[in-house]
Amino acid sequence: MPIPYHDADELKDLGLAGYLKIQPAQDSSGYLAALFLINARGEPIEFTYNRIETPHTFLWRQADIRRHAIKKITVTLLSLCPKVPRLILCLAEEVSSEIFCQDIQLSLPVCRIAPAIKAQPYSATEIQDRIEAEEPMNLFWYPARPSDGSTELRLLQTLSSKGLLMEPFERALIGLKEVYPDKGK
Amino acid sequence: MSTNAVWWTERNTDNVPKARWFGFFRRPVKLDEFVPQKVSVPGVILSTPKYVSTTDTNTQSYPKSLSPSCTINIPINYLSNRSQPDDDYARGSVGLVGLLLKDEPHGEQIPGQKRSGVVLQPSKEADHAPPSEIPLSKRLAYLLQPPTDVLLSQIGPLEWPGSLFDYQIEGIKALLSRDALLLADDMGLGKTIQAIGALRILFLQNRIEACLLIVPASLVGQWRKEIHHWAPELRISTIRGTAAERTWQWATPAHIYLTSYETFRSDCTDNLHSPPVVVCGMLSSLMKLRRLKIGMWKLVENVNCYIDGGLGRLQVHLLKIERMILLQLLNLFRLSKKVRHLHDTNRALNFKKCIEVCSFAVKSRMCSHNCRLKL
Repeated sequence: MPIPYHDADELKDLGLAGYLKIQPAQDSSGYLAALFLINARGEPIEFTYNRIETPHTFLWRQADIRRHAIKKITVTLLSLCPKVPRLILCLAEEVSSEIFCQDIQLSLPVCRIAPAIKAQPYSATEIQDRIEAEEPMNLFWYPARPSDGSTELRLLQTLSSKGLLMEPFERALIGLKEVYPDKGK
Repeated sequence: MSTNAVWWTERNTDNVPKARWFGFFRRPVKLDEFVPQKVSVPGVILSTPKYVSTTDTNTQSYPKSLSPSCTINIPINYLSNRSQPDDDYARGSVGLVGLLLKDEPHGEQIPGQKRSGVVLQPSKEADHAPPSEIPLSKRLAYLLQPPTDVLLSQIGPLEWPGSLFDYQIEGIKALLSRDALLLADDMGLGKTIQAIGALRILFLQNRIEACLLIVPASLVGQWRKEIHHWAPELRISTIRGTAAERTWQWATPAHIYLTSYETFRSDCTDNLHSPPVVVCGMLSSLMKLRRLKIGMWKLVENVNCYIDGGLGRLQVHLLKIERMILLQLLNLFRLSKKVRHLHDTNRALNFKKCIEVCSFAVKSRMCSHNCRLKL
């Protein structure tokens, strides 16, 4: 029988999780966005942020402008972030399925999170999953759900078990408000 | 814009937004027929839609671009020297690991200095920030730490070996939220656990990088055991043995330096080979402070000199201390602004002295966590 042990570096091996936070500017002039990277212990590792201004024109549907703006600002965050996370988490109510299913192709899994009690549209190409955190959450994976036992899924489960599935989004919002005090409130 | 990241690609999609043409033309237009077949989506700086003639019903001009013109910032990476001429300081990427203890923002070094083959430039935020203002990177590093409530939760990032009582959680929060605190719980309520819990979170949040614990010699083993139990990830260097042994024990990298009064006094006064390696200290159980008075003053001088080098704050943990000496120390540490925690108990103090000590602490703007003293 092996001697039971606990490797302190085990959590470090799980890598980083990226939380993509999109926040409309207070004056509706555009969007603020942050890619907040934390490790499995919830420690902040990297905070990448940017803002985009959207034109006020009647020529464009607001949904189209929003999608276009979020795509553009997400691209800048991805291109800038110096570290590569294991997976990217975002809120389904902030990031529509088209962003990562059609507009941007990522080579790492993207998970959109939505409360299970709230109906949320999702693409047919996304894989729906469910996790029992403090409150049940629906997970929409693209391009596919990580396999059982994979590092990505263990990282997600570790974060969920530590109450860090949704909390980092709040921290990212705090960071955005600090960076853009006149637009983030 | 060049990129470092290779783990994403932007699709060349035709899903450009469709303009609302209704009402623009005098006659109905079938959108499908008039949508340009080759629409290129330019980069960030996009051309504005061209003028659409509505006077000539026979000739129809088409907009050159169907993408909305969005003003977007080209972000700066402080680490990879990626910037634009019209940089805005409030955008970019900030590495947050271990940033709180360092004086300079992450990635900020002398211009031209190379690290990992990348030429680093001073961060723009430091240039724009007034000299007295805390750099944005440091503010972010502090704000983005896990909140205390999450850290103290049983399902939080920290695995606590046992359940913390509500009053202990309250005490830890109070210890973390103030630079000076007189914790005066009754005997057996878990002051040690609260102190270790606060220490653990301070280390996790990178708010301190080392700690000095001075305890009675008879309690060194117990403190070591408690620290191993409640903060297993913290490395302890127990200062004991001969002077030669203590010299390398002081120099050993550790989170917590644990020693006794006698050893500490000896090292502060007699052992010239023991450098003041303490960057943050927590003094505990100064039961024999009268005899340590000279050594204590020397310690403070040493620590002050070292702290002036930018190494951190001083943690003070007082237990069983006589009033007059406590007042002197409080004054001393308060003036030096190096006090982090004051930890006292009413076990050795009578009721009157407790009131006096607590009232002094309040007067000296040190919060007294005396809710359980029932004063």
